[in-house]
Amino acid sequence: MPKRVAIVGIGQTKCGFNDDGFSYRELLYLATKQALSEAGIQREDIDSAFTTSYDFLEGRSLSNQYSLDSIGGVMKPCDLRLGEDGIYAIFAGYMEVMSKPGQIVVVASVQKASDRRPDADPAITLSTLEPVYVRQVFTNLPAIAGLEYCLAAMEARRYMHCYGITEAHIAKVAVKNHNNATRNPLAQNARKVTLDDVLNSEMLSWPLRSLEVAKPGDGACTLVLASEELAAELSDSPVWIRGIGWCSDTCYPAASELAKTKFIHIAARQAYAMAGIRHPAREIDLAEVYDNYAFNELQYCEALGLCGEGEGGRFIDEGISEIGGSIPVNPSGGLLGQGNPLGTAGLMRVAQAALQLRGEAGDCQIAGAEVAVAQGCGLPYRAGGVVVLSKW
Amino acid sequence: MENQSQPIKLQGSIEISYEWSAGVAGSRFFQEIRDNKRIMGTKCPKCGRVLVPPRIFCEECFVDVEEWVEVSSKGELVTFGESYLGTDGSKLKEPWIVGIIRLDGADGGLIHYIGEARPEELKIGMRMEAVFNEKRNGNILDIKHFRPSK
Amino acid sequence: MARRVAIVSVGMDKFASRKVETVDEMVYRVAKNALDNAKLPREAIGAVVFGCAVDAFTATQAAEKVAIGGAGGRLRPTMRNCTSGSTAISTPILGYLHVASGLYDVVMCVCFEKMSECRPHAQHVFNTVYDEYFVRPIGLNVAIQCSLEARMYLRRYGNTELQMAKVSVKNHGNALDNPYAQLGKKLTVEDVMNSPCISWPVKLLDTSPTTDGARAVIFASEDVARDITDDPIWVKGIGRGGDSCWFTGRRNSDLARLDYAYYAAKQAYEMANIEDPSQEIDVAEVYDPFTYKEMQHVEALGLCPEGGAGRMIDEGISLREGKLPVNPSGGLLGEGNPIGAGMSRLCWAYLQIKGQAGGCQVPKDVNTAVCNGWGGMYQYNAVMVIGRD
Repeated sequence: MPKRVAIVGIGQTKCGFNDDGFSYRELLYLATKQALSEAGIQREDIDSAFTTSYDFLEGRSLSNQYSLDSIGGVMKPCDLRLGEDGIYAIFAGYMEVMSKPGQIVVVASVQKASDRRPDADPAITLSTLEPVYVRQVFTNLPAIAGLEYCLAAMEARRYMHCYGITEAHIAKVAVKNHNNATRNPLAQNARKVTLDDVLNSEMLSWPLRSLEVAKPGDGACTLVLASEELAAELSDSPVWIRGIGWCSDTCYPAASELAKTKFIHIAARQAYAMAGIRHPAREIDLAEVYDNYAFNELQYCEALGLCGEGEGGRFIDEGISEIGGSIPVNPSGGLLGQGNPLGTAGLMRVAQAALQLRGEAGDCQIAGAEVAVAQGCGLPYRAGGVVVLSKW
Repeated sequence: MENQSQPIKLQGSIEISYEWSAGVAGSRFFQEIRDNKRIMGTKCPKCGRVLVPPRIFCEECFVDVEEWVEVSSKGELVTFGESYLGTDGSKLKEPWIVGIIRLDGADGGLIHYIGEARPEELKIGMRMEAVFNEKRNGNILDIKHFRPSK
Repeated sequence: MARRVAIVSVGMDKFASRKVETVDEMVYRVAKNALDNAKLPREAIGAVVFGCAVDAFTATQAAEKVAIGGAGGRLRPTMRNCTSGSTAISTPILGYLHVASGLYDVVMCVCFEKMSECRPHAQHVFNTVYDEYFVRPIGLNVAIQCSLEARMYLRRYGNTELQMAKVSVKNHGNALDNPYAQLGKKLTVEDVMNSPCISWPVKLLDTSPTTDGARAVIFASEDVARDITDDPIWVKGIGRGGDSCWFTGRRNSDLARLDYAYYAAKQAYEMANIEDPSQEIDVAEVYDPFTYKEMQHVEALGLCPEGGAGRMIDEGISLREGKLPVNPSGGLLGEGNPIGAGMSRLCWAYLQIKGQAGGCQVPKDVNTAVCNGWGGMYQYNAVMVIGRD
């Protein structure tokens, strides 16, 4: 059995509302072409290919059945996955590589938010809700436009209440990530913001402000995975997948503990155990986490063990997660800064963390980074996964 | 375990609207049909296939495809099927027919309505031609249907 | 090489219009049944793999998320697989990978579909499966989609409507002995031929009914499997194939021949060291949403020569008491077709090998069985071969 799996090719498109007219299939092709070319391989070299998507985001049932052409998957043992973030494609790809020696596997995801009409998102939110007890509560509201924020705000309020997290703590996350993104050429509308800018941005649903919410966008991401014996041949700087873990909580919010993200805690524990990491706060050099909302970054940092439970406020206050800090979090800008192609953003976290370990993160580069953790979430945000990467 | 109570049904629907981008390849394809009643394909520089519907990459060779070529609006009936059910599930007296037409000069073709013919008049392999709509909006329905060549 | 993987239990329940239960409740019943059959507590399950084809049937994005509790997956790793109809077998393949890769020792696959909730009818949803640029505007439906393919298939190989009808008679009849079946029926060839034509050559009785249902299968690594059961059934081969979505312009654009299914079968048989499946396979549970699909699939799976499916049914080879029984459970035609829960084909293959298929048990020794799933725009196939040592 192969011992390890490496990332040997990375392809990402710029995030944002692409006005170049590319369809989702074409965007996915562009990312895949880049990833294959980085690994110096042809379509013939691919053994298997995995992709993910969400039907209602795409407006198509079985929404990724037309994607396999774009990821080089024609007449390959393809397993398409759906209803998960792209980070799950890594989990499946990892298992595929580990099940048989000598394999090269492509994992990819794309999101084309610009294919949805602007008024579509509340309905998407509704469709992710538990249908019997939760969705019915909201279907008769005269306006459900703010529903998504309202639901997230309940979680934020609970988190703040339990651990003394303040509005300023949350705003500081947004400031950090928006500013980090100005260094990232793939970022969607990156701009420098101040704490005042964030605190004065539109209040969507207390405590969520406009600049603390990651805006949906288009984007595609493809990674090429290879088993250990091929990795050195395919890449001068393979990045090793040292641990993976994923976990789901109930989608009934009243039954789950909203102040903390237990599902990420469990996923992280599994990934760290595989990677032999005992003290993540000391051993992890940087993290790319799923900051869909600014307060989520603090919750996930706690769940990932980068700080203690309830210490998210101190963590951001002390600058630990800044690019110059001891555990930079989202040096790429995260979802808030780089962009939020739903269902692809988690895979992009892994891509960004891998670029860091290669030393190819450009102006976002964390000097000397050797071990990184990346994390993603699936809709409806009570499920997610963790990947631990290392340079050696 | 048995259900002891009267089943309760909850009503609801979810409507989501989309504006799917036709893509770089699709935009050119539909524009040519709308403006010039021309069916275009793209030619793979490696395997030489003329791809219809067009794409900007060949899924077999996995290379960029940039050369556009016009293909015929006539071709061969590859297969067809008729339905006596409307899209809404209602029973129809007259069937509607869908076929796959491989277009001359292309290594592919289109799936579309077959018109001006009854099912018993159709044969696999017969010659077909596209009938364009007078008013065209830049989508696949700018072709009204394919009919047996006159 | 990968770790050996065994199937140690399956969970069954009735396929029917399950109007009272939620997805969560439906899933719970099969998951619980599978755990009980293996005498395992929920805690023994390391990860759950869901299979469900279409979210729109229940209007719930990530439809499996509502069934996490029912599958025993709360605060466990869960993953959802979807390859359209081939979800039925590609989900257990993903379950196999969980164990073969060394990540988990015990994994439960839960496949379900609840098609009775959408209005006016589940068929309404199928149009949303099609490509939004070239196919959906035409209003294509499943009946025509299949007619396009069936017409080419019959013409290419000279097989007939009558032979299709015989498959229908066989599978509906077999389902009479299947306690979980929705549509066991004693039919004659005339009944089938005279049933309303949906889209030539497909008649009403050539099609499988939309329905609700779920299935569960528990996989275990070799050492753990031997603790759970004295008689583990091994996964011997897996295979998958996916062809281009551009079905009008593939390198081989001939819909009569399922290149992708031949390709998937070849992988599975190579892995299982099977050279002549028509001799070495004892029973087959193949994906038969339409009668002609069983015919195409027995050919692609090498159970008869290419084009020989007509002869196979004519000569009674695929009858339950035949030399190579195909769908002795009744298949999708007789048992019902809740898409993802087509994993029932694997469950029945397992039950046949175990000798636990009850009235559906074939009257001969069964050591090796094959099953498959089909889906997409004439696109995907997933194949699994299971058996005893």
